[in-house]
Amino acid sequence: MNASQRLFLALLISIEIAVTKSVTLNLTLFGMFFILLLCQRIKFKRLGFYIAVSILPTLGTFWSFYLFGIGGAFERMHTGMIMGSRIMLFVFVSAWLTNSVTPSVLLHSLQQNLKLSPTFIYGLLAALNFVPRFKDAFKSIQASANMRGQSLSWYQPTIYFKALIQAINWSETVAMAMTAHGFQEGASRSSFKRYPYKKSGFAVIAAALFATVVLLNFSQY
Amino acid sequence: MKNTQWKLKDAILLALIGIIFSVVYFLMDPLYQIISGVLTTVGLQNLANDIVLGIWMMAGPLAAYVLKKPATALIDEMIGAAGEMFLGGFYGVGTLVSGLVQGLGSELGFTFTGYKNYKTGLWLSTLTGTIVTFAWSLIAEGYASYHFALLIVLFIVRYLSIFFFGGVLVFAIERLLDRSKFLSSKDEEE
Repeated sequence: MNASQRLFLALLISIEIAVTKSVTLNLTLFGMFFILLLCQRIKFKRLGFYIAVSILPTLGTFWSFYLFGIGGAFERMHTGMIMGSRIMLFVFVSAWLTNSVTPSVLLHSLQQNLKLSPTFIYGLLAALNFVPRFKDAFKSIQASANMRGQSLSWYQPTIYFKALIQAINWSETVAMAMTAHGFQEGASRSSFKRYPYKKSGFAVIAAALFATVVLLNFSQY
Repeated sequence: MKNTQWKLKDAILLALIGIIFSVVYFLMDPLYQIISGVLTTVGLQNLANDIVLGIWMMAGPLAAYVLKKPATALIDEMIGAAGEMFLGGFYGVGTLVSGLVQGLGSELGFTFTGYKNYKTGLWLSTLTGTIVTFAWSLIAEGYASYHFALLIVLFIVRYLSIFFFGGVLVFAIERLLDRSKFLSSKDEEE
């Protein structure tokens, strides 16, 4: 499976989970993605982290639906378990996705597979490098406000305004630098690395969806 | 005015706005956990969802206003969601799906004005955003199994949240941008 196909599978499965109501399906998929994660030789600490972050919202959601749902205790239990297991599953599907593809590989393969505009994708790729810088930018914005005796919090418009000004400046500088290095807007590009669709990937997606539909038909709970 | 061509500069800016907000969204995840943790003890965990949902709907309207192009709200909400996922947000691929729904909700507000009046579009987007996300909650997040009275409360709380964060706060940021003449002066240069 290439990166785009992994994204499609993750999206399809999450939409499917979101619109169906089956505890069996959720738990089966959860087990499957858990095994897939183990096959990716994920570090034990990282696995523990995923479980730790998902446990509280899972229990919270379950509890909320159990207490405030409509119907008898059995029905509320069912709804609560669906909603709770769904959140756990979301976390593990995305863990599987983010462990197997990096954002830049995903963007390159989406561009090649879906024939998106290279200008647009290269813009996104250029912006990716600013992710760590934004944390610093937020800190320096707050520090400079502190020097003037003001404190800026996340709910004040000024902090976003300053970050936006920073973003506008960066976007112009980076665009200029890319143009200076020979990047042409709208020009057709060749690519250093190809990420073609794999037939086996489509087979896996089809098989996974077919299996979930079969499971949905046969499972009672 | 045709404004559908994507320039490199605009694409980078779009992504940067998405990234700013993916950092914000990511940092807000623990806050959401705390609020929902507190409300869980009284069994109102889903109220937490509606109280803070507006925060997750700021990127789209802001990007639409800054870039003034069709589909920016939708794309930027998706970028914000993807960024949140890759940073390691709690809800994983769930954020991609909800980013799509939220982006679509905000986008509709601007679509209804025909992408001509972005001020009206902003206020309209708070309403369409609430309706679309609430419909999604009814279909997918199990809201249909709540009592009707609770649903009304949840809807009002959600609208207020989106109105404040996605409306008032975004409007305040836009006013600062307007007053700084940062956007308009750049346009004149071209």
